[in-house]
Amino acid sequence: MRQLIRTSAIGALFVSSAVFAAPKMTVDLTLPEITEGQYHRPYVAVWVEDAKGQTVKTISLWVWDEGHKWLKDIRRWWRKAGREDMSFVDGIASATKPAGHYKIDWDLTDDAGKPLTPASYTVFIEVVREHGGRDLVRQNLDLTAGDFTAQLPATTETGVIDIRLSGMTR
Amino acid sequence: MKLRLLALVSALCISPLASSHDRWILPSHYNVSAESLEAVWITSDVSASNQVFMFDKPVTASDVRVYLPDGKPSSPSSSYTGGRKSVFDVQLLQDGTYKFEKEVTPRYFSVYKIKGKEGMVRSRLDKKATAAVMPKDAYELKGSLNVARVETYVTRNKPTDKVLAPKGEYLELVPITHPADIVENEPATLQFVYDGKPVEGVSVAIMKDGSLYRNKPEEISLTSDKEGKVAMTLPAAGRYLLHASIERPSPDKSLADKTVSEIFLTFEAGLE
Repeated sequence: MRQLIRTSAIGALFVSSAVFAAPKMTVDLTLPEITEGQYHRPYVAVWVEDAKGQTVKTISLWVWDEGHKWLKDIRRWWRKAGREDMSFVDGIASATKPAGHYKIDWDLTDDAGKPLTPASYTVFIEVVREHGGRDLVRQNLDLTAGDFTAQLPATTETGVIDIRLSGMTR
Repeated sequence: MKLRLLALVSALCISPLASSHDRWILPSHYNVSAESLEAVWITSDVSASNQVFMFDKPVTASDVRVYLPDGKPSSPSSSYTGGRKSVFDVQLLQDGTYKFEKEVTPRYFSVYKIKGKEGMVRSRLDKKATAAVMPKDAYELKGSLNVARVETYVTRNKPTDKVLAPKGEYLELVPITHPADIVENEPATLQFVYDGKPVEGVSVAIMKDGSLYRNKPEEISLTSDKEGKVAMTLPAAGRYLLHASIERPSPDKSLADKTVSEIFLTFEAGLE
């Protein structure tokens, strides 16, 4: 009985938070344990492009903090976003992270902090490891179609990625 | 047998240089990222070969010019000439796109036959000068003016356009899709101009690195359209050698019958 009450209370809490939460996207990213070969923490970029392939927001950038020599190796992110403005890169970059589970939230605003216009976008996750591989995964994100949940299958450099858009429908 | 002979003869007729090797500059990196005050070294190989990017024939690197992103010409920091290849180093200090090219020197080339002797006699002089020195019984004197551009582009941080502009002499390649933006599976456009104007009918051959390790060359053949443009979508990331050529009647027929203008461009198609 107590168990039931607790469960329904959590349920109620979940429902209410879904109703009143501001729109956001959450990426549940897993960096797998890789035991083969030399292991270096990967460079990770998570960003959003519009339907024309123009970058609108770099959500996360995890890089080695010494120098910019390797930025070019996050190849698509570098071509689309990184090379445009190095001070911008310094502003968003943070340190590489070890294998593990990470939750990345995005409030659907662009690089300038303005809310995105409702349209179709693509979320990209690029994971590159020195002496290792590179994987580029993508998920379409239609801001006119309401909430959704997507699961991207694991690749060599990424575990299963869950992408959740919430707070769009009320 | 007859067919093969015919093919050989027609190949010889196309250009006296038709049998010559591809020449190329192969930089170590095409796109680099760097902090503002950091200098980035690029080393490049220069050679000529029939297989793409195999070091085969000595080609000097001492005449390589480096055009900086601001448009100013510069020279390599150092260079070495070897038996099968040459090497030059360049330090990138500015952000933007650099052009590396071998000095462009138009050269006359003539050929003639001698009665009773097999084959052509080659001459490094124009027709008039060749006529003056060739034996009296020589015949079928033909001459061409040959112009070859051997070039590549390298970008540090954000790409710029200044070095992409044509100079307005002979055949030139203008990358409409910036070289730093050529990516596998994405359409890219290049334009050819002759004396600064778009030119139709340029033969373009694009070959991927590593032809030595393939049974077939897998060459992509294109011809420029009315606007001088060719469109390509490369199926795989990697390094490519582009060879473009066009023949035009020479303005002064006493010196050469035709002008043969060629371009050898090395570039990379990035990963998607």
